[in-house]
Amino acid sequence: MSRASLRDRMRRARQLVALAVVLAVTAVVVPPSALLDAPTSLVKVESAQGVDHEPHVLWVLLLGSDARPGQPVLRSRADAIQLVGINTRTGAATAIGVPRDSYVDVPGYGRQKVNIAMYLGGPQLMARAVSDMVGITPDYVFTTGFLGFVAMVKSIGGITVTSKFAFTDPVKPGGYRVGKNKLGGFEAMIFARIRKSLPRGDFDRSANQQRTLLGILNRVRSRADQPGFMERALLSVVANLDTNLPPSELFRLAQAATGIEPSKFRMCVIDGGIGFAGAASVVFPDIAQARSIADRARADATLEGPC
Amino acid sequence: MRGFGHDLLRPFRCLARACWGSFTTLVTVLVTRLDLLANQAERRPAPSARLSKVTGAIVCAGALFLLASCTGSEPSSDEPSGQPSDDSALAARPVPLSVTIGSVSGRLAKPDRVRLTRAVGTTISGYFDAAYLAGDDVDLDKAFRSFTRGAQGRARADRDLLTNLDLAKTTDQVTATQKQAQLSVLAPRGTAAGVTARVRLVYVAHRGDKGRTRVTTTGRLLLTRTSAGWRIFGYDLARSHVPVGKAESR
Repeated sequence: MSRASLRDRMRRARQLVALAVVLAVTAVVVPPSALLDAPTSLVKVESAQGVDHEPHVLWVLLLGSDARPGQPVLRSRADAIQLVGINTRTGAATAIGVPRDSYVDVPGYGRQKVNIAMYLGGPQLMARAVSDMVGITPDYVFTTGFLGFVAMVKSIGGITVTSKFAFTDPVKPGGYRVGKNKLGGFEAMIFARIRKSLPRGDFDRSANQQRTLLGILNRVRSRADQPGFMERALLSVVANLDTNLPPSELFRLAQAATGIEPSKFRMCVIDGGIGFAGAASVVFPDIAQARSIADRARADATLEGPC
Repeated sequence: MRGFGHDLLRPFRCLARACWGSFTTLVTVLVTRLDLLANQAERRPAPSARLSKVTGAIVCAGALFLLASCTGSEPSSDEPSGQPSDDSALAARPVPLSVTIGSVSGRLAKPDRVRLTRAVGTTISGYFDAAYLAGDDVDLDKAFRSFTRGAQGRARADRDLLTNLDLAKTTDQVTATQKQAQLSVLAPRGTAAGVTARVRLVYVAHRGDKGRTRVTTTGRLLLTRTSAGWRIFGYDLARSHVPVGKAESR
């Protein structure tokens, strides 16, 4: 080893020693920061949620109008009829699907298909007809048309639904498959409306409407933490949903509804037989079943046992 | 060892506080010295440069001494309690709530935004101050005064999270370090109908022998306008706490 090389090594060694001294001094003299955290990254985080809404159990009638462009949404037939109970304290909910062609007493008009009640007397008469049939009077009635529904689903960025059946429709080139389907606004609207491709027609359609509601709930819950998400969605609701609720009440109701836990969301469709009333194909609903569901779920929007 | 460092540093700490404004200069000096050392390692140094390196190391150490003093602003545990400390000075200057509007869904004129910010800020600030920052005195009626009636009942059930109650008995003093609220506003017809406030509150609870605990509360508060003004009708809050200032809590 040459002398120059040895000298060079010595020089580097001294430099290292000097740096080591600096670091050692630093380690000794730097006191802990005033707000130094404990030397652990495991921090117990506790959380609490609560939304005030009175009454804490409420029933909402959701109506989808089949109004075509230019027709009044509130004076057309109702294609989707869902009576939904929400318990804002427990996070439970029960949806009771009413087949559109249910042949029932419409107050003041005798026996008719239930969906014509909206055409005859608007959402108010529709609420009375459903109330007489099921035995629960809704606290609120919300009505939307095709385009309003599409806009609302778009405003939350689409939904994912779990379909029981595979079927095709031009709006979704790949078709709807059994299991999870990601749907945009139009695709969701078709999923909730289509009837002829389903084995039990009107009944399966009503079940798909409930799956759509569950998809909306899941989507909203997963995004509710995003700044501005709920407000943007509610702005779309205000624009596309007919309700006499003031926006501030709607805000409270929507925030309470996001407390529904999907695992506690029971969905039942009122069963019945298919027959004819004159020339019209109708559903003769199982009123006893409807009343049984209502009796069990009325007080707390919680349904135990079978549909 | 740490105690030794603290006692020895007290005069330097005072000096460092006095020259807090020159903090960045000190950092610059430190970085420059280390940079020089690195550069010189690449070159063959003249004999006089060796002295320069030793000087550099000393300058670095000195600078670190001062920087260390600057960060150690807490009084040591043996400091007489009657003397004013930095913490009490902090407590005397309450941290104001920082309220910003993150988004408005709909339309809200600028003057209305200002009014809304002020009104919602007052509501949230009132809650924070009474629930978390009142030291050992947590009055639940006062704490949840800015909640709607139904929310008050729910909040009472969650009082251990929604107030400082669980620490209050052992808390002498509370020092807020962060109070923030970012608002998402629903204003469909030119009027604010609902607000989601994303909040963050950080404070230090001074707990005597138990040392100090830093408590962080984050989450959402849901507000709506009532006849009594903006009120909290819902909450989704998370709270965590960690011990701080190990030297003091030994």
